[in-house]
Formats: sequence, C-alpha cells, structure tokens
Amino acid sequence: MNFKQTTKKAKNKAIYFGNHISSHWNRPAPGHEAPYREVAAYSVGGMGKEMIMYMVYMLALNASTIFLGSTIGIKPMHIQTMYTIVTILNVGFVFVRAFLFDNMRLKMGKFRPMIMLSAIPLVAIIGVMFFLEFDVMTYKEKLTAVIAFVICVEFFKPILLEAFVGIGHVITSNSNERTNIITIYSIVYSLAPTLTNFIVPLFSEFTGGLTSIDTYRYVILPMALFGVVLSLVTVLGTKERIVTSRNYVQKVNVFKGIKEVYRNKYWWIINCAGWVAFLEGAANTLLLWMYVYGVQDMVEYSMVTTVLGMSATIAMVLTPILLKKVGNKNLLLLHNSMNIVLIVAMLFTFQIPYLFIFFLFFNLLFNYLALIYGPVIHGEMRDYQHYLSGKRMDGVFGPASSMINTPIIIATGYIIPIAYQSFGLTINYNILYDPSFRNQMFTVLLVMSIVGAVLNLVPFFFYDFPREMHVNVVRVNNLRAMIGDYSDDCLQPERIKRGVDDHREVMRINSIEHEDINDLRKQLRLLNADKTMAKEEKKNQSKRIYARIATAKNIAHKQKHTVLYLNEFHKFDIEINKIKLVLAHELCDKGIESFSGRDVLEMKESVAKAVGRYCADNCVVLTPKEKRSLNAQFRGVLRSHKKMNKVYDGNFKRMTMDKLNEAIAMPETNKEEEKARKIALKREGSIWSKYINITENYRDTKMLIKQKIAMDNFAEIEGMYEDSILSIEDGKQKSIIEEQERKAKVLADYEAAEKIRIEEMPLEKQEKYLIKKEKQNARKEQMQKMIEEAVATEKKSAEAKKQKKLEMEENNAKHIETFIDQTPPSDIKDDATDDSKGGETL
Amino acid sequence: MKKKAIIIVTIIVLSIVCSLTLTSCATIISPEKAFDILQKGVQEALDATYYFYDEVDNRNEKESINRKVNIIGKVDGENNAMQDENKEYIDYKASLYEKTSSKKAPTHVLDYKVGLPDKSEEGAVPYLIKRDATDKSKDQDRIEIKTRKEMTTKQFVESEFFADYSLYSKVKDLKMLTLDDIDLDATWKQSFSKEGASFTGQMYLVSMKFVIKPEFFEEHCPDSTLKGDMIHIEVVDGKLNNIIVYQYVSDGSITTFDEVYRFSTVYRGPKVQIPKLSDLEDEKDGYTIVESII
Repeated sequence: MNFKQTTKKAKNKAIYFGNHISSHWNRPAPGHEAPYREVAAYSVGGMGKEMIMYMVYMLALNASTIFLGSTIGIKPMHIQTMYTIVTILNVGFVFVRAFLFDNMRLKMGKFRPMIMLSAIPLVAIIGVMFFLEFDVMTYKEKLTAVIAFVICVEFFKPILLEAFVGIGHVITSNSNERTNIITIYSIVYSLAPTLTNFIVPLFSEFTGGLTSIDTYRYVILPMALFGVVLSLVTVLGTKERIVTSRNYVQKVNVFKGIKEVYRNKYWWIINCAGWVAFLEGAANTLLLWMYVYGVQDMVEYSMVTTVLGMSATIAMVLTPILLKKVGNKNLLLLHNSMNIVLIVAMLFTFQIPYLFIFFLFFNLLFNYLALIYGPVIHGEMRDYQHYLSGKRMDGVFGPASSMINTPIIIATGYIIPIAYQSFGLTINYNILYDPSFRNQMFTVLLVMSIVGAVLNLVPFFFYDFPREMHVNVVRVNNLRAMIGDYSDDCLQPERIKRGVDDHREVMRINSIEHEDINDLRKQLRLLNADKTMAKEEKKNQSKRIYARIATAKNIAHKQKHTVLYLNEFHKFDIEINKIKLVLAHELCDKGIESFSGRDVLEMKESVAKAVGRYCADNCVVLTPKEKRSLNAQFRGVLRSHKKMNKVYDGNFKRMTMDKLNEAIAMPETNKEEEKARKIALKREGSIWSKYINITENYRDTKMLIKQKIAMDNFAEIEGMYEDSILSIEDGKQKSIIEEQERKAKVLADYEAAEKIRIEEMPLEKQEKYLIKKEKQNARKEQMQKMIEEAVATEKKSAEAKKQKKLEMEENNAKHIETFIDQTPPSDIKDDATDDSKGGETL
Repeated sequence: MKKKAIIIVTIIVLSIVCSLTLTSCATIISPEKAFDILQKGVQEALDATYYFYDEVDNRNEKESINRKVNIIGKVDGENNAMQDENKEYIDYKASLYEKTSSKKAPTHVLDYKVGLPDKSEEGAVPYLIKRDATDKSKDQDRIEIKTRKEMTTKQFVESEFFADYSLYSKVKDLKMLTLDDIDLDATWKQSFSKEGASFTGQMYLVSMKFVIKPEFFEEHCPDSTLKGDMIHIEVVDGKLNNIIVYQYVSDGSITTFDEVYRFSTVYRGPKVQIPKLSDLEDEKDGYTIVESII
C-alpha cells in the first residue's frame, strides 16, 4: 500500500469516527445509553481523580515514600506500623463506607455525590498537612500528626476510587458499551500520571526538589486543586443509570463462596506470586533516589520519567500480540524471567545512570504487560471458578483474598523497613546523599529485587491454564446455563444458538483424526539422516513434515481440552453421578412439601437402601473419595431439612416469586407510594432471601434430576436451533427498521419546524437565510458524500477481512483433510528408535 | 497435589526470607565496643571537610530553632575533596539556613550562600549572599533584606561567625565523653515501658541509648547541646549519623518524655545553588552590596 492510499484510508477512518462522535455527542448511538459527552466528562474527571491521587500517594505508607521519609523524617519501621494500624482500621472503615454508599440517597445519585464528598476533604486534609511546620516539631509530634492525617486520608481515599469505578458500572447498563467506555476512560485518565510525572519534578527544581516541603505546598497542592475541578466535570456531566432487575439473582453465601474459592488452584498461584511481589518491588524507588540524592537534576528526572512512561504504551500494544503468540503461561514466564535478567543488568549498571535507565525501561515494559494480561488472567481464573463451583461468584474473591493475604502482607511488609533500618536508614534520609552509602543500599535493594523476581517466577511454573482449556471451561459454563434455562423453561434463542454451536464445534474437533506425532518425528529424523537426497528437496520435505507436525499438535491440543466439555456432557454416564441421581430421586421426587415433613431416620434408611440396591445391581464399589462426595451431598440436603423444620416449624410451604414481583411492580409516583414500595420490597425480599437460603441444598440436589432430564432431551434443544437463528435474525432486522423509522421521524419533525420558522421570517431575511441554508446544504451534502464514502470503505474493508478469514479457515480444513488422506512416504525406512516419550500422542 | 506443592514451596521460601531478615535484627553489643565505634565516628566528623547537618533545637519552650548547614565541593572517585594547583578546594560552596519559630515573635529566617555560581565566567569572584526575612506580624509587614559581599567560601567557613555553626562545634562535646561519664544503671520511662542504657548493632547500624552523668557537663561543657535526661546516638557504617536528646518536659500537671534536640549529619549534602551575579545586580531582586555581612 502506498503513502497516498494509507493517507486516504486514515482520512476515511477519521471522518467516519468524527462523524460518529459528533452525531452522538448529546444523543446516544443506537443500542447505546450514554452519549459521548458523558463519556468525555467521565474521562476528564478521571484525569482529575489521578491528579488528586498523585497527592494522596505522597502519603503512601511504604518505607520509600519521599514525603514521609525524607521530608518529614518518619522512621521506615514506624511507617510500616502505621500501615498495620491503618489496615486494621480499614476493616471497620469498609463497613462505614459500604453504609455510606448504600444508604445515602441523594438526588444526584449514588456515586456522583461521593466524588465531591471525598475529593474536597481529601485535598483539604492533605493541604493542611503540607502547611504544618514539621521542621521544628519533635519526632513524637510529627508521628502523631502524620498518623492522624493518614487515617483521615485512608478513610476518604477508597471512597473517591470506588465512586469512579461505580460510575463506570452505572453510566450504562449495556455490558459491551460499558467495556468501551471503560477503555476510553482508562486511556484518557492515564494521560494524567504522564503529565504529573513530568510537571512535578520539573517545577520542583524551583522549590528545592522533591524532598523540600515547598514542592508539596506550591506544586503538588495546586495541581490537586485543579484535579478537584476536573473531577467535578464527572459529577456534573454524567448520569447514573441503575437498572433494578426484575428477576431474582441467586445469592452466594460468602463463607461457602470463600471455601469454594480456596479449591481454585489458579487463585492460589496468582496469590502466592503476590505474596512475594513486595521483594521484587524493593528496587522501585531507586530511580527516584538516584535523581533526588545523586544526580540532583529534577528537570532531567521529569524527562526520564516521561520517556519511561512510554514503556506502558508500548506494553499495551504488545500484550495482545504476545498473548496470542505465546499464550498466557508463557507470557507470565517470559515477563518474570525477563525481570530477573533485567534487574541483574541493573545491578551491574546502577552507577551509570543512562545504562541503568535503559534496562529500567525494558523492566518497566515487561511489568506493564501485566496491566493488560493481569485482568485477562483474573477473568479466566474467575471463569474456572464458575466451572468448578457451578456458580458465578465474583464478589467473594475480595474477602477470600483479604482473609489470606492481609496477615501475610502485614507481616512481610516489615521486611524492607527492617532492611532499611539494618543499613542505617532510620530518620536521617539525607544519608542517601553519601554516594558510598547510597551504592551499598542500591546493591542490597537490587539483590532483594532479584530474589523477589525469582520467587515470583516459581508459582507460575504450576500455571497450566491454556487458551483452549479456557474456551472449554466457558463452553461448559454455557452448557450448564442452557441446561438450567431449559429446566426452568426460559430458554432464549441466543442461549440455544451459543450452546448448540459450542456442542457442534466440540464434536467436530473430536471427529478429526490427526497424524501420529511420533511417526512424523521419526520421518523427520530419517529424512535428516538421508544423505542421498538433494538439499533443496530435503528442505522442502522437512518443511512439509514440520507443518504436518504443527497441524497434528494443534488438533491434539484442541482435542485434549475438549475432554472438559465431554465430561460435563456425559456426566450422568459416570457412576458417582448416577448414584447421586438415585439419591436425588429418593429425596426430591415427591416435592419439597413432602420432603420437609419426612423423618430424618426414615430418610437415611431409604437413601441407604436405594444406593445399596443400585450398587448391588450394577456391581459398583464406591471409592472413599466418592463416598465422601456422596455423604457431603446427603448432609447438605439434611441441613436444608433441619432448617425448614426449625424456621417454619412444620408449616413449610413452597414459595413463588409472585409477592416479590408484586412489590417490584408497585407504583412510585409520589413520596408515600415510594415509601410503601420500599417497605414492601424490603419485607418480601427478606422473606424470599430466607426461603432461598434455607432450600439451597435441596434445590441443588433437585437440579440434578432436572439436568438429567435436560441432557436426555438435548436432541430437542438441538431441534430448536434453526428457529433460534431465524428469531435472532428477525430481531436484528426489526431493530434496524425501528432505528430508520426513528431517524426519519426526527428529520420530518425538524423540517416541519424549520418550514414554520422560515415562513415567520421577514422577506429580506428569508432570502438571505435561504441562500445561507443552500450553501449549508451543499456543504452538508459534500460532507455526507465523504462520510458515505468513508462508511462504504470501512464496510468493504471489514467484509474483505471476513472473507480472508473464511478463506483461511477453508484452506486449513483442506490442509487437514489432505494430511489425513496422506500415507507416510514408502522410501523412508521405519527403523529409528522411538525417543519421543512424553510427546503429544493422544 | 500441585496446589499443596505451591503453597508449601512458597511458605518455605517466605519463612527463609523472613528468618534471614529477622536474623539481621538488632544484637546487643558491649558498651566498650559501642563507645569505640562512637569515638571513631566522632573523629571522622571532626575531620570532615565537606558535610551537611540538620539540627532542631526545641529546648527553649518559647522558641524552636532549625539549622541546616552544608559545605560541599568536588570529590574524586574515592569521595575525597579535590583541590586545584593552589591547594584550593574545587567548586567549594557553603550554605547556612537558620529558622527561628517562636510563639511570641514572628518567624525569622537567616539564609547564607557562598561560592561561585555554576558555569560562571572565567575571572569571576565568589561572593556571599544573605537573606534575612521576618514574617508578617500584627505590628509589622513581612521584612526581607537581601545583601551580598565578595567573599570566598574558605573565608566564610573559617570566619568567627561560622565557628558556632561548624560541625566541629556540634560534636566536640562528644569527643570528651568517656564510658565513665555514663550512668549505666539509670532508667527512664518511654511510652509504656521502663528502659535502661542499651547498645545494639544491626549490620551497618550501631544504636546507643544512655544517660550522661551531670558531672560531665559541669566539668567540661556547661552549655552543651547534649544536656538532657537521655541521649540516643546512631552511627552508620562507622560514621556519626544521628543524635537525639530526650528530656522530661513538664507542662503544668502533665510531664512527658520529649525529644528536645535532634541532630543529623552526613558527609555529602544537596547541591548549593548560588544565583548568577547578573541576576543579583537586577534592582528588582533587591540585593544590596554591603561592606560587612557577618
């Protein structure tokens, strides 16, 4: 493609997006809820939040904080103790903040007022703190002042952060739109740290550097005040769109959920790596120290941080490509191994600042990869949790992590301050001006960092969750959802399409036969050993064999992971599940009312008899693990029984959601009605919640019967596939027509209003106006033409891409078929020894 | 199985790291050894050509004084002061900052800088500049007097005026201190516990807390800054680093054990930036040339 074409393409794209944004600045795009004006307001406010947070992070409770350490002179050990105190206090603060968010019913909404109520106090508190006369205070006075201010800051800081995250969740109820908004927001707000990291050190040159309190008073504080103004743009320019669900969403018991999370291997791996991350971060402060105490040139520092900031952008572009190319495990290993290499390089070069910065750039680049792949890996881990426990439970990851991680983080947090203290860095941070001391300190911190990087790498060797496995985990989750919806008689066309597509894809993958990889390797070895063949011919043949190995490996890899789906699909062919089904039939066949009235002993006997009979008839011997699993299920159902009798005292009756739905449907046109609806919702919600909690284990057991029925009727679901496709297409067409009609109506209304306006004008003005209008229309037409051209080009290129993809898939399929038909060349003797143990044979 | 393996491996490694760190925690050393280290550290301070110190004196209830003194010049790879062919220190500069905050009077700042500005022309002469500022009060507006005078750093550092601010004047009392001057049996109440004399070592840090007998001050230095109810000294890597003096301070009915004097030093300090002469001659900047500043 030549330069002219590229420019034209870029111009087309710019026109297309420009037109899209301007036409939906005040009015949301079709299928969207938030106009671009709100997205811009949210993003600009995000920049403001980052500016405030820049000031808040000056009070971060870690040993390398310049403000607390060098400027005020608080001992690193005392900073860590403050962190411990604040962490403990935060346990209480969490509840206060939760109460504030859930109970402050302000007219502006739930999150927007919280920005004002947190940003202003935060800046005010820290502003006052910056103006205290720390240089004439005693250590005790400093410590008391700092802890008081830090506690206040730690109370308000999460409110501001949560409010911005919350707005991201409620600015629209459309999940895809939300993802796009958050992406735009992230890109825009990340400009703020780049800006502040450049401006603050630059201006600090005039106020005595980053260790001088004047920098905090006259550079950082005004910037944070500007941040408050920007964050008010979000408060005034956005809307909250909270949608109350009409369907009941099943609640997950927090403690049960935490127990389930602890079964997740990948959660443990990610957390274990996090426990040792503090050591790797020991060297994070070196660049700042190098410039504050060594080079003492904050202008250069601001340039350096700006250049280093570019590594984040490069990493953001690289991560999706690397994820696709090497997979998540290899990327994790690559990131952590490169960290070791680069920190070792930094250890040998820290006395030459530019070389150190060169290695630091790449170290940061690799660390920033985690910005993108981190959420991807967390998302996959959560999907795996969904697969493990059969329930989506995002909310319990926070408590599960804090229960395990908080004590560990508090304890390990003392390691770096102890190291600082052992080296003599207590209250006198000016000691870092001494080059010999600074170099010793740098060496120790870099060695700690290397140890941390090595420790961080270890857990990821156990990470074995490739993309194909994740695809099948999601397929299993979809299958379960489809089966559940079929059982509840609420199957949607989209669900059927996705479920059946998944099923057919798995079956297609499993029906492909691939060549034996060991055989192919043998062929390759023999080919290499053959000295009679021409070099060129040999090269071509080995290239073909390599391609066949790659194809066979790919198929084998895909087939290996479809086992997850097939196990789920055929789960009732496994004996233990058959026995669980017997148990379920024995307890749940007569309905929940009958179950609640049964005697426990009689139930135990009857279940034992039924299971025993089944085992004897089918010659099944249960393993201890299977026995434990069966017992756990039975105990669970008995728990439901016990609760039913305790709470309902023998008067248990099946409940429906009718009353709750009635409460939801109550009118709320005036204050009295609003109050009555709120009371009714609270009452009915609580009754329903109690009912759901009590009957949970019974319903889980009953679900087995329903699942079995649905699985048996899978052919019926597959039969609905064609109708579902038609229904989806109909829906799409309908929405297009509706949008066109809406646009035509708006245009007609506008033209009618315009006509009246022109008629009311004086004749002279009317003429002038019409000429102006004509010119405007001509320009508009020209613009419209350009836009249409741009849209057509965009569509064409999208279609070309689609076509290319289809062609590639077809070629691939042909390739596979050719290989299946192929027989190994007869001229290659099969006399090589098999040394490919542990290969990818299935 | 794998999950258990990960947890076990991580816990073992974490415990090794924790125990290694904790073993580097403070170990008790003998008073003799601690004193030997202290005396070497003090001698090094007395011999120092370049240094930076930060001193906070809250002994006087009504006012508090903060002093920062910095003497700096070019050093070689081994951190020794470099001299030119005339045996003069290269890039020799000094600064002295003294801030007096008082409950009854407005804050007063004295700020001296001496030396040649960076990248100054050949033949340029070094000079001393002084800023004398008094904050706004009920009776008067803010007063700021800026003066300058030709003077070398050497002249300033060797002047009688500077003698009271030199590092020598701050640590000379410690040089006279012997182990006999220490009351090893004395105790004091700090926070919630009762403490006694302690001498601990921790890799590069030697920390000592003790009470100096009143006889020492009576005999050697009645006006010593070390006077107090307990003294805490830290020596880092053989160099004197921090001196903190605590005193029982009575405020009517409440008696507290407070830090009344803090002195921190290091043998290299921040850059001293001397404004260019051309900037000082600008009338708007308000510097006046005077015969005598110090």
